[in-house]
Amino acid sequence: MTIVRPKYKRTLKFKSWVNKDKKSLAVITAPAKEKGQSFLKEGKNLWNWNPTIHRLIKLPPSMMSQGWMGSDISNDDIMKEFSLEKDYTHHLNGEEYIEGQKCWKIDLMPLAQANVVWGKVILWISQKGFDQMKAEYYDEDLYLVKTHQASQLQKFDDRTLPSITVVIPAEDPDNQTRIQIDKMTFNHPTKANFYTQQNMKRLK
Amino acid sequence: MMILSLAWKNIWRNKKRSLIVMTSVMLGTTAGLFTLGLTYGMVGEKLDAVVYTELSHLQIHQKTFLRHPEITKTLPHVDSIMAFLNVRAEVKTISPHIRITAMGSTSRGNTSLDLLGVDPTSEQALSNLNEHILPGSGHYLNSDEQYPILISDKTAEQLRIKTYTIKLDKTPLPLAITTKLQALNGKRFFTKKKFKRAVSNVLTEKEVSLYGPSLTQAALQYRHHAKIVFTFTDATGLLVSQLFSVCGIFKTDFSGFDEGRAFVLRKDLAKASHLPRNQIHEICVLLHQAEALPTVVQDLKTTFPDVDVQDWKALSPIGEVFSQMMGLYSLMVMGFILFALAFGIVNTMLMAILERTKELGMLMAIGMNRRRVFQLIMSETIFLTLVGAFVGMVLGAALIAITHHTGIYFSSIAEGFQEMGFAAVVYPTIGAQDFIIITLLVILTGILSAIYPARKALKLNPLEAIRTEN
Amino acid sequence: MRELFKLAWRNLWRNKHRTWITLASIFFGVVFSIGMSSLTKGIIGNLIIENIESYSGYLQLQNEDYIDEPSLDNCFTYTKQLHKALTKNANIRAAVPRIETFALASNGNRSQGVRVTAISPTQEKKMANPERFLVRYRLTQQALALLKPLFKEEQKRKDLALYIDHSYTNSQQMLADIGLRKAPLALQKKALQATLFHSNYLTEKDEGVLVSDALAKHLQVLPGDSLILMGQGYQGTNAATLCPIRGIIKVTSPDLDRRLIYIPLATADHFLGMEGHITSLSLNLDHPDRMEETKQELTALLPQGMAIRDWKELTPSLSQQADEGEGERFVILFILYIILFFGIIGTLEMMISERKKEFGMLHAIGMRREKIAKVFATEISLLTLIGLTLGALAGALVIVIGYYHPIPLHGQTAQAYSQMGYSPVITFAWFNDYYWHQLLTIALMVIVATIQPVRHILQLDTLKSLHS
Repeated sequence: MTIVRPKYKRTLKFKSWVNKDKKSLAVITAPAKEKGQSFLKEGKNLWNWNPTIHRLIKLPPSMMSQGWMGSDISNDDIMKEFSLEKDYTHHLNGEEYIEGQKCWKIDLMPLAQANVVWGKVILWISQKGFDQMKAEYYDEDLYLVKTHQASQLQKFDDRTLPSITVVIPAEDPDNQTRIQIDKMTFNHPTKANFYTQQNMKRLK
Repeated sequence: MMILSLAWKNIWRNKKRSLIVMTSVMLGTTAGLFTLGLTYGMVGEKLDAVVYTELSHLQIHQKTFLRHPEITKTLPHVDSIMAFLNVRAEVKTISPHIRITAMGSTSRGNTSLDLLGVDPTSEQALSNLNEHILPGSGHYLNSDEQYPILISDKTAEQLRIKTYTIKLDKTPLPLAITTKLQALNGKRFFTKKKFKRAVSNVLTEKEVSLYGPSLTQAALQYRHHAKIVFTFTDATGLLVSQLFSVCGIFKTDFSGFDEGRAFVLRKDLAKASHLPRNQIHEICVLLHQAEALPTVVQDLKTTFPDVDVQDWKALSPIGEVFSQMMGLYSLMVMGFILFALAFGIVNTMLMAILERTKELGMLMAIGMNRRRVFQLIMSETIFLTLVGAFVGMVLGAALIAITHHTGIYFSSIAEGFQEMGFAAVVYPTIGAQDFIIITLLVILTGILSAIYPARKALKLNPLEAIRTEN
Repeated sequence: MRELFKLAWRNLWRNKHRTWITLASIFFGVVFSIGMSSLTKGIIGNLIIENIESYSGYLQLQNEDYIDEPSLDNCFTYTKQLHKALTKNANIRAAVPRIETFALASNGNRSQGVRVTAISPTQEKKMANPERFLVRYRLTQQALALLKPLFKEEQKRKDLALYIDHSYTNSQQMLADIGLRKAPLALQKKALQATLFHSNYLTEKDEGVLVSDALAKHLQVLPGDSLILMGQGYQGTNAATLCPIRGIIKVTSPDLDRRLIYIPLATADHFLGMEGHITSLSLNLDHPDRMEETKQELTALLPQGMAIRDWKELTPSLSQQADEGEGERFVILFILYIILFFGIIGTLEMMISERKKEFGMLHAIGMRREKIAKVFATEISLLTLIGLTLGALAGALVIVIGYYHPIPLHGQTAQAYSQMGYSPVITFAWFNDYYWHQLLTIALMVIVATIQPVRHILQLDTLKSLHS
């Protein structure tokens, strides 16, 4: 992940695991100062293990809107990954080409009482691989707030996916977060107690 | 008796002299009254705001809630406490609150604050916050609405709900300016800084200082029914989120109060936080008379020793400091004014004595003894002082009454984009007691000041006095 | 010219009483207005000054973007050259570096959002001086158990319970609370021993921290325990550290007392990944009235990307209070002026009516009205000069005495002041522009007051005046 800011640029490397029960685990592998920190998403909680201080903490509400590791992707975004499914109505609005891929353009409007901050979300899903090629997030007055742009389709394991996703805030285009997937495997078997707090401390 | 009538006649004989002394006394009285009124106005307002907008007279919480608020620290024996308060004649309003610290986010900003779940009816009887709702920004909480929230102007800024959009057709400006701003027409800015920067890029510094404030004012907009999602730990320890929709924006004079609070319906907050029925964190009480406060607090503490009862002074010690300070300040100022007054009277009377040397000499020569002369001078001074004080009292009262109605504006205007610096309005006010005290003090000063000149008069030698050439 | 002067001078000494009285009204006018200006400026001004000098400083050196966006990323490098250049300025009394940020402090499963202020422990003594707020006595359960036997009355023992867990920075306050203020020394000593609390200040390279009192109680930590600090560091890195607690401080603001942590700059640098940068350099001045000038002088020395901010920009609420104070002061001063003005007018009017006969006579023997008026004006001018000079000196004396011997406060007022961290005294403000303004105003008053009397002279009706 590369975090771009007007005054600096920072690159992190990490490994992550996700399972079908929507639990996920991630560990930072570079740079040296951050190496060994791990994150566990389980149910409604996000845990963080820090080897420097040997402590495991549960992220409190006050840290939820902060960017994960200082990026433009908030801890909240990570927790609410699947809200796009349940909190919105979906409406097909035509087709467009993104990065040479033919995509369905889907308009998502939040349900009346959904606990989401967006006024509207537009997704471009590739018809071939069902990959999210582009996403635009709008506020309630339908001003664009941020864009997620995917590119560089690559073969990973048995599938083809965009390897690069860039998050661009509309108001500050000098700020960006760029995630590049180096390697990805699917149906990777994991031990029974993989997604646990104990395991967080052991990950490398 | 003859002395008195003579004194009275003397006063009106030399109108100019008398007028001068009377005017001095009058000024002193008016000045003293007005200074006090001004000071009371300033302090009174601040303290009133603390009680009637912010804290009310007293608050009741679970023992350790204030030191470290947590959702599980609900108030024990709520029903008994309510019952106790309901039968007390001194109590005017009781308002129960749920209080939860939460993180609010919108699509562009986030902030941490205390969510206060209140019942609109009792809360509006308790606090005059609804008078602080900015015109055009909405209205107070309404039980019929879906998850409404009342936030402060400061919060709106932090969450980027406060926006600046230039609408040239709605803003009267000279043609030259509108042409320059054409490119920015309709553009929305989420922070004042960005707005300022954009406008400063097209206008000259002079134009900015001339048109800046009005432009900013016209461009200011609050997003109606803006959505805010609040995240907090619920009663079971889980992280929950709840969407609220902004129904109005308030602004008090305390940015500290503003920043840290937002108001929602108690039933909504109870539902979202999964608090068991009727559990609350605080009870705010407003009394009919502030004087009853110590008694009520004491009784509450004795009857319910295991809860925390605090009056507004303990909750906001700065208010107490401020009123002490102001009390001291006005005392000092009064002292100075009375001193200056005394001085003016002594001086003027001395001059008068000097001027009347011949006249006084004559009086003494025809037989008026020294004691009578002394009494004469004293009586004259007292009369002058009384008349002056009376007129001063009337004038002072009138001045205070007028300014109480119109208010006195202390404002400082800053350059460019800054809003009218800060316009504090003071409404002078004075109690009957202070009124009387001041007037009496002035009269006393007048009398004391007369002693020295009167004694001087006594030292005149009649023969020399008659022959004085001045 | 000289003739006028001679005449005027003689006139003045002819009737001493009259002269003294007139002189006195001018003299006191000056002394009063100077005294009141100084006092009123002092009462409010000093509260503000104490506030500024103990925290933000009059000026602060910051990254130019910091004021709009106070994040760690908007920091700057404080080089030795810059330090040399800045401290050469004669007006700078102290230059104190700091880094300020927010973090999460936790102990076990208790955590709290806190404000972390990284300081140079030695330098900071010149400003916020946290050392003076170290908790030295605490009424813990154990302490109370040891104190109880010292009291014979049951009621007093019960009263002790009211102060459980209270922390104190000085012995006087503690002894006062438990009612041993006037007790014999031996008894006091025992109480002090029982409640003694060990807090230490920080050293430059210390890895430990100072924790505010209410915060320490919430997290249930004591000196010697360790505390976790986590948050966002420089350029978004994850900052986390475990540090020992050296001491507990009791901060006057209750809000701040719940969430303040002091950490030495060297340790913070590592914890936050600051790479030697700081977020602010607070400056205290010897002559605060020359703040604007100093601000400009220092700005000229700065490299690109940095700015000097003054306390009005840094704490606008304090600036508002100051303005409010000024506004009020002005209204009150205005009222005083009116009273003084009438005093002076009164005296001059009297003087004229008293000397009507004299003027009539002078005119009758040939002196022109204009000359009489000129002589009179000269008399007044001389008196004014003398009055102003004497008044200025006396006023100066008042200021000097009032400044070095402030009026002490008592009772509730004193308590309220101390609680907020201010010294419980009323100080007179030191010399400033206002001093000259008063002299000018009084002089102006006299001039204006002289107009009418002079007109009277010029319109003198000789016959009428001779027969007055």
